[in-house]
Order: sequence, then structure tokens, then C-alpha cells
Amino acid sequence: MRAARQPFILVMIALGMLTPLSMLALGLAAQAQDSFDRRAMLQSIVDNVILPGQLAFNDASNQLASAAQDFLSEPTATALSILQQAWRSASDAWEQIAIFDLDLRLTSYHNQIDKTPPNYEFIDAVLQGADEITEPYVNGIGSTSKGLPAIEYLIFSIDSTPAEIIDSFADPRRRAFLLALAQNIARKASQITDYWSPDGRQYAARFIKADQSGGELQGSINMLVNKIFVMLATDLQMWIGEPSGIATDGEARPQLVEARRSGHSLRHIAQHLIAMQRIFNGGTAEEDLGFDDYLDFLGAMFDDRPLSAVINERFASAIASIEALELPLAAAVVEAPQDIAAIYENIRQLQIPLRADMKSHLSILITLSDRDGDQ
Amino acid sequence: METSSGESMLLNPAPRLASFRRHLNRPVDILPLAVFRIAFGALMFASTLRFMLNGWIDALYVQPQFHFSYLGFEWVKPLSGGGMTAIFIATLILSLCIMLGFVYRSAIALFFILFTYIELLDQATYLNHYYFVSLVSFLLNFMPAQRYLSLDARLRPQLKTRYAPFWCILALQLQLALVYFFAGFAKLNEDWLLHGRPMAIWLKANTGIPLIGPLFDYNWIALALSWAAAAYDLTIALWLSWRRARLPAYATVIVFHLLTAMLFPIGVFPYVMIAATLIFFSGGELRSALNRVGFRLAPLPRRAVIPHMRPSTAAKLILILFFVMQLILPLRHYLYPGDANWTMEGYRFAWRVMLNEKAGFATFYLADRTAGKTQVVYGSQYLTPQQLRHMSYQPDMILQFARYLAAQHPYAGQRELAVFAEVYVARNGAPSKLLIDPEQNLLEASRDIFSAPWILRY
Repeated sequence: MRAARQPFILVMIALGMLTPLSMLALGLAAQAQDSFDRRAMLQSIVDNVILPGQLAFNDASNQLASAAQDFLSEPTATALSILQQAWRSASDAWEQIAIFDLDLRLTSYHNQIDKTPPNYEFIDAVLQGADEITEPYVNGIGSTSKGLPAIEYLIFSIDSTPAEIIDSFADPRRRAFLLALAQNIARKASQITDYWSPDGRQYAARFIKADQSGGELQGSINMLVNKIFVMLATDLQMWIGEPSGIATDGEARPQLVEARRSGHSLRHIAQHLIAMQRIFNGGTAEEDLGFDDYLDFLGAMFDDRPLSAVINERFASAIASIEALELPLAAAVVEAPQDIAAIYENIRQLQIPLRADMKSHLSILITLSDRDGDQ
Repeated sequence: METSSGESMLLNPAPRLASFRRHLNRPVDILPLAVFRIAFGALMFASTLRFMLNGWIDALYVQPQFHFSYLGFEWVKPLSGGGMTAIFIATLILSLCIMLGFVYRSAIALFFILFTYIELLDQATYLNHYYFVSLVSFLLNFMPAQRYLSLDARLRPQLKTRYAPFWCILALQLQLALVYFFAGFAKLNEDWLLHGRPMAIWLKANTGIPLIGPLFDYNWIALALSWAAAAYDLTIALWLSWRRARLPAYATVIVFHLLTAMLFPIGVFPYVMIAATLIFFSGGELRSALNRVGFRLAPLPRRAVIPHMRPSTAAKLILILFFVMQLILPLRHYLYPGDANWTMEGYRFAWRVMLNEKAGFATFYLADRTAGKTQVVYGSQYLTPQQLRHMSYQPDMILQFARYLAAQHPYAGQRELAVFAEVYVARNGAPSKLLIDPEQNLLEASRDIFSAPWILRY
């Protein structure tokens, strides 16, 4: 009996050893087969979305600094208008890359370019203070007192005429502050570029390498998708829901609108959506590898249609509904609440296939703790 | 004579009750129980320390402004930040006491109370293995696990014994067998066996793992691993109980749990199971293994004074009730209509582990009917990401949050309020669907053990 069992035990041990070995062999063989290359997707997002976005913002921030210089040299209505347009362009370019604050250093750079809500009291204190205002001085002050919102505060106004804005720049401290702010933004833009660049701090390479989304909590795919979720939720609830009253008691509160002075709030949200859609598609060209291709590879469907197509349609509807509205948000929440409600609903509808379906297909972890692994 | 603990019971069930009783109370080598106690204490120490160092006390129990209660345990509330830290420090010290076998009786009783208290604080932190820890620490209260390899036995030599009643070992083995069996039983469903889901989803999210990762893109691999996991869960307790298969079976336990540790962020669970399954080894096997790595454990004396080992009638009744509940709880979902994987009714405390890849998106509508106004609310405004994730696909938690929302309304109690929720849930790769009736005023829904009629069955 004992002798009869021994071969059985040997077989079990052999099987126990062979199984991992055969899996290893199959794994090595499978590397040559077709599968979805997540790193290639991340590479595509870096090459087609992140790096071009940074270049665009670099250019736009340099143009903003130069428009500020021109305006200060010759403070005319035309120069102010050009400066304001340069701010809008820089702001648009910024909002398209604002989502990529993926680690602590990037968050620090990003905060120094755009931290809301701005601290107007401190900005006024700087203007009325005695410290010499230079670019290094601005570099040292708090994030809520500089960056694009601070420039917006200086060059746009809700109740002043352009002439009054120009007159306000008779104050040499205001002039120095404007220039230093614009130069500091250009500096931060180049620092961000350097941080991602292969010639600089090489963050892009690290970002692409961290391609896991399941076991690896800090995986780039997880991070990106989480950023999309957070940005969508913030845009929807904080920047549309609260000023419109949809997320509160129904009363419109135009004073809560972000970037109210420039009337640019809805455009910011549109830029976010454009950036998110580009991330989703890995770029703008059909062949760019993105989450859309990943979902197609996984066979993800939604109402008998490819999930990727549904998500793209909902992105397009949300963006189109914003672009169709000519009023700035602060006016629209009062004068066209039904249009705002439609925009709100379009963005909400976009969240369903993203936050339920895509998240489930990609096994995305929302929380950065492992407390909820097995339910 | 030393016998392997579980196998004789499983292979030769005693025909008569008296003989069965004798069988349960017969003295066996205490070493497996002592090893179990030491490993359990050590893992609880590591787990608690890790929890504290990760800042989870604050994140999970202090920061949240709202906690999801368990039905019947709404009265269990967290203490302040300092109080919760004190609870965790106490748990840490108690774990150490359990490991060292120091003031063990008090330590294990207090550990069970504190650990269970922590786990009852918020449904969003539910984990099957923490439930398992609570159950095991409860069982250990009835066992003389401190009477060997412990400070208690060293300080009070009269306490020391080399024997424990067989039922102690059997109870722990049975507890583990129930966990594995029901975990395997729950896997016998269409998604798991025919489609290899959610395994396929998880594997495809992990193709970046070196060497074996590329294999994970293949659906047949997911299917094969699903079947293997189900077979493993259903039969591993039997293999471990059979002495000749024990060693390869334990090797499988190690490989299986290390694989899950690699693929899924499930914390200390794999190590808890790897350590706990040591209870299936006999004293002789453990001693020879431990002596081989440098320990000097004396062989079991053939003639020794064997202490009285029969449990009290109360203890017997409690243990019988305990295991009856352990058999009923995992099956109670059959009393509810629909698939528990979707409705979540009867899902908890049932070893339904790793069955679903789910994600939900919930929009709440808080209507002030007196003022004729409705506002849109998202859980993210009130909940932590962890709470939000769990609430988004669990009807009971959705109901609790709806009530909380209404209670937060500035005119709560003064105006007629209603809360509705549109909740889309995607499960195991299938397109998202509505989880609950969006027309149901959740403030009018009752919260009890009965099936909720407002859940839309899958």
C-alpha cells in the first residue's frame, strides 16, 4: 500500500514543479504573440498629448510674458487687448495639461501656475507692500497669490473699463508684479518641460514604465484614470454645480464662478474635456493608441455598441454643448439656466460609462490603499 | 501515540455520540495550537503596525464625517483620533502578548473585542480576512493555546502541558475548511466557470508582470486559473487533512497565496492563510520541521500528566452555535431573490471572495418638496474615496447615505424631503445597468434583514 502511494506523491510533486515552469515557458512564448501593449499606450499619450501640450504651454507662456512686456512699454487699449488674449491662450494651453500633476513635484509646479481660489487679499497686500517685486520674489510667495489667476486679477475686471485697467498700471508696483508673474509662469512652464524631458529629469520614462494598474497601486494607468475622474467631478460639482445652484439649493451664485473676471470658466472646462478625450484616444489621430483601443481590445460594450464609441460620443456632446453657449458662465447661470443644466447633464452622462464601465473593465483602483482588495 | 489530528476524524467518523465526544476530547500534541497562536499573534502585530504606519487610522476612522454601520450595530461609533490611536496601540500590544503567550487569556479576549469593534465601525472597511481574524480570535478564547511555548507557561510551570484536546485543533481546521469550501462553492457560477471572469479582467490589468505577465492576455489562461482556483478552494482542506498529500498541498497553499499577493492588493491576507493552514500539520511534523531549522523542541513524552480538557457546557453550546452560524451565514443569500453578486443581499460574512470586478457611479437627487427644489449630490462631497467606491454598488450603503444626506439638509425635520439615486453598476465586464429603482424615495425604504424590493434584479 505504502509502495503504491509513493509514485502518486512523486507525480504530485512533479506536477507542482512543472506547473509554474510551464506557465513561465508559455509566458515567454506569449511575449511574441499579439496583445495590448499598455506601455505603448502610455508612450502614445506622452508623445501625442503631454509633450505637445507642454510645448504649446511653453510657447503660450513666453508670449504672455512678451505681451506683458509690450503692454507695460506701451499701455494702450490694443496692447491690453493683446495681453488679455495672450492670457486666454496661455490659460487654454494650461488647462489642457493641468490634469498631469502626477507626482509631488509636478503638483508643486502646477500649483504655482494655477491654484484656486486665488488669495486676492494677499495679492493686494503685495501691491501695497514695500518688498521689491522681482521674479525671484514672486517665485517665493504662496501659490494662491501668483500664476495665471493672479494675472487675471490684474488685467481683467468685472466692473472697470479697459481705460481704468490701463490707468491702474500707472502704479509701478502693479507693473513690476505683472511682469514678474508672467516671467515666473514662463519659468515654471520650462521647469515642467524639463521634468518630463528625456534630456532633463526623465519623468516621461518613469511614467511609461509604471504601466501596471492592478497590483501596482501607483500605476500610471490608475493615476491617469483617477485624475480624469477627479477633474470631471470637480468641473461638474464645483465649477458648474455650485454657481448654477444645481448642486446646492437651486439659487444661482455667479460670484462662485471660477475665472469670473475673464469670463473664461466654461472654456477652461471645455479644455479639460478636450484634454481628457485626447488622453482617452491617445492623441488626435485614428491610429494613436489610447484607452479607446484598450477597451476595444478587451471587447468592452455598452448598449450593444463599443464602449469606446459611446465614451467618445459623450465627450463630443459635452464639448459641443459648452462651445454652443456664447454667454460666459457667470451670466449663463442667471440668464440661461436651461443651457447650463444641459451642459451639466451631458458631463454627468459622460461619467457613467467612464466611472462604471471603463473603471470595471480596466480594474482601476480608486483608493490608494489596499484595504479593499477582496471586498 | 501521536496521530495526525484531522484525518482520523474525517476518514473514520465515530458512530456513537459518546465515542465521538471521547474522540473530540482526546489529548493530542499541543504544538500545532501553540504554533498557530504564535503565528497569529505575529501576523496581527505586523498587520496592525502596518495599518498604523500607513496612516489608515486617520484615513478610515477619523477623517470620514460619516460611517456606514452594520444593521443592528448602528451604536458602534469611532472614538476621537487619540482614542482610535489608543485602541490600535492596545491591539498592537495585545497581538504581541498573544504571540508571546503572555497574560494570554486576557489578551485574546481583549484582542477579540477591540479588533471586532474596529471592524464594526464602518461597512466600507469590510474585508473577509478581517472577519476571519475576528472569528479565529473568538475561537482562541476557548483554547489553551498559551500552555506551551509561552511566557505564561514559563512563569507558571504548572500551566505548561504538551497536550491539548483534539477539538481545539479540529475547530481551527474546520474554520479554515469552511472559509475555503464556501469560497470555492461561491465560485461555481457561470461567470467564473464559463467566462473566466473576473479573473480575465484582473489578469489583463497585470500583463506588465515580468515573465508570466504576457500570458495573462489569453482568455483560456483566465479560464484555467478560474477552474484551478475553484478546485483549490473546494478541496484544499481535504488535501491538507490527508497526511500523505499534506506537504505538496501546503506547497500549493504557498504558491496560490503568493500568486494572489502578487496580483491583487489584498494586504496581509495571503500570509494569514499561509500561516493559519499550518494548523493542519501534526505536532510531529511541525516539530521535526522546526528542529531542522535550529529549534530544539523535545519529543512528546509518552507518559505525561494529561490535564482535564473537557470544555464547559456553556463553552460547548457556544461553539456548537458558532459553527451552526458558520454554516448558515454563507448560505443565507439563497433566501433572497436574485444574484447576491449583484444585489449584495446576503453577500457579507459568506466567504464570497474575489467574485466581482465591480464599479458603480451614483448620482443622488435630494428633493426639498416643500420648497419645490432638487439638488444633485455626489458621494464624493461627503465620503472618502474608499467609502465612495464601496457605496457605489451596495444598495444597503446607498440607503444609509441617502438618509445621511437628508439629515444634513439645513431644513431636515422641518420640510418634506425625498432622496432618489441613479446608480449605474458595471460588473465583470458586462455593460453597466441600473442597480436600484431611480423612482424610489430612499427615505421611505426600510432597512432590515428582508430583501429590498427597490433593488433591480440583474
